[in-house]
Amino acid sequence: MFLNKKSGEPMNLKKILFVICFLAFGMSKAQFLTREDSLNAGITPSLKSVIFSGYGEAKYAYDVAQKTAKINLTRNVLFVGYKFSNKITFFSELEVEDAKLDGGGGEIAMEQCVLKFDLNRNQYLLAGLFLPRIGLMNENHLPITFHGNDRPKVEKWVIPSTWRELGIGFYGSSQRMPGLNYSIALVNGLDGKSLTGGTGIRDGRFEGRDASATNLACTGSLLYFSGAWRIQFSGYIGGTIGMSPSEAKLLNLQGGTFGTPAALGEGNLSYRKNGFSFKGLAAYGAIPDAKKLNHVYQQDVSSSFYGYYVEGAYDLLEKTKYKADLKQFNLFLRYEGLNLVGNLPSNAQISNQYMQQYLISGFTYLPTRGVVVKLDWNHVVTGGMGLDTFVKGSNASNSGIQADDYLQLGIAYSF
Amino acid sequence: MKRRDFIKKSCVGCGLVLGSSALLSLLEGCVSVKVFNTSIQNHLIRIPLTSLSAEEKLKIIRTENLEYDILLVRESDQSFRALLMKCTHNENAVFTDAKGLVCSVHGSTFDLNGEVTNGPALKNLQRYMVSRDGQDLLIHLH
Repeated sequence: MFLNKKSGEPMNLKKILFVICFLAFGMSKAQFLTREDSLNAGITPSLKSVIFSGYGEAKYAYDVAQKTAKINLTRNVLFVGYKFSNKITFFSELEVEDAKLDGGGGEIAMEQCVLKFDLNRNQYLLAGLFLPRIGLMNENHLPITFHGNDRPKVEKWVIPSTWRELGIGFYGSSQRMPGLNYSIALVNGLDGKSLTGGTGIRDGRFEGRDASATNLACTGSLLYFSGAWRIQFSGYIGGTIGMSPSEAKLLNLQGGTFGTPAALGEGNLSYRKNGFSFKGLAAYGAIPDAKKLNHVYQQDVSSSFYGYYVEGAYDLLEKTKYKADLKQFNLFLRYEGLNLVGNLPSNAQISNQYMQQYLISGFTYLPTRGVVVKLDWNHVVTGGMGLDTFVKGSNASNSGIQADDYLQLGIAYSF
Repeated sequence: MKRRDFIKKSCVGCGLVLGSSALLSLLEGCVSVKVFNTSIQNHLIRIPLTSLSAEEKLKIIRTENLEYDILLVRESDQSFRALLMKCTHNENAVFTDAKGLVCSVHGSTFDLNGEVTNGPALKNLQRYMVSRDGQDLLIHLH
């Protein structure tokens, strides 16, 4: 209980609240002071500062074929950073998926936990758990930056966003050619025994937990910005066998750093000007020794898989007075194609349901910057009976149909 | 011509047009911005006007004391603005492609006024006052 220092009597609620607010305000002013603020204030520069932000999203989804609906707090993520010095910064993202974690699902996970070491004004190192620059969504997956309630399926199943691994990365931007950015990173490899048919390399990720460092992976990217354009190429290659070479040999697998490799390559292009925006991405993955993996683990792994999407959008408020109020009302249309069956080894069987096409349209309304209301209509067609793939990413879980439609309404925020 | 062939050829044609215009636009953007190294004195950065050529619209001002560069933008012959090259989203450094400023980490973009043109950044870039002192420009860090 809070007691008055002079009288020893309990303080009333208003006083307690005042004291808490005063202390909180004082602490926040002290801790959130940046070096520039200090310089501006004409006081001794304080290098230490806390960065706090976050994002989240929730959605309602109606399955037309099943005539059922679900509503879910998809995720809430808290971002905390700390500037140790003007050269070393800490970043972390803690994610809670599906509101809670219990036997019925949900996930609590570190999405990032990394130290950034600035080498100079144009180059830095990352060390820890981080999201390699691959695809459009992996590094930048904030819900206010993409259309539709779900992230593009291609960037979930072909590029397994949000894909984070432990390692070290070197990032930079060219001074000679402004707009050109590059990255190269060495991270832990994949878990070959966890790879499964119809999910690309998604199930082989360690995501920072007890990862094998016997096998490693290398990833790199070239990213170029020019005016309204953004273009990127990136790739990944890594070993999938985290056991000793002798153990691997017994199983007729190739061990070592890059043994029994998995590879992924992608290119993407986007454009944004005068309210119009366009995105296009294509990605291709390969596991050349899928047959050997299947022989050992019987997981029906494909030796190749691919996906692509194109999206166009237009902001109806671009040329209105509402633009000054930071409002946006984007209409969008996206087409996606995935083939997670790809080249199937003779010892694997996957349903053609993993060959999928999506047509998604809807609107993205931003009443102000950082807050978004989304409505989208999804039409999906698969190459075979069953829509089980959507169980994790959507509301549909129909096993006896090849096509479905679902309507989604959601809210999201980022600060 | 079958409808499917027509759609395929139309898509390829659109792709080629889009790709060509993108390439041309990208090449246009290859303009390097020069860096001017200096220091801070009494919360002021002094830049001799002689260090700026008449056709130079942008200059990156770099000091040891500030951990981010400042972009000096020429508005007219006599008028300049100064923008701190620090993304207001997560404090990553932004770079300029001569048409605007971009944070390569999360994709926030800003125009040469420092205003957000694409999120996730919510706030505009920090601006500093710029004044003239004889043949020098002064950036006020207050």
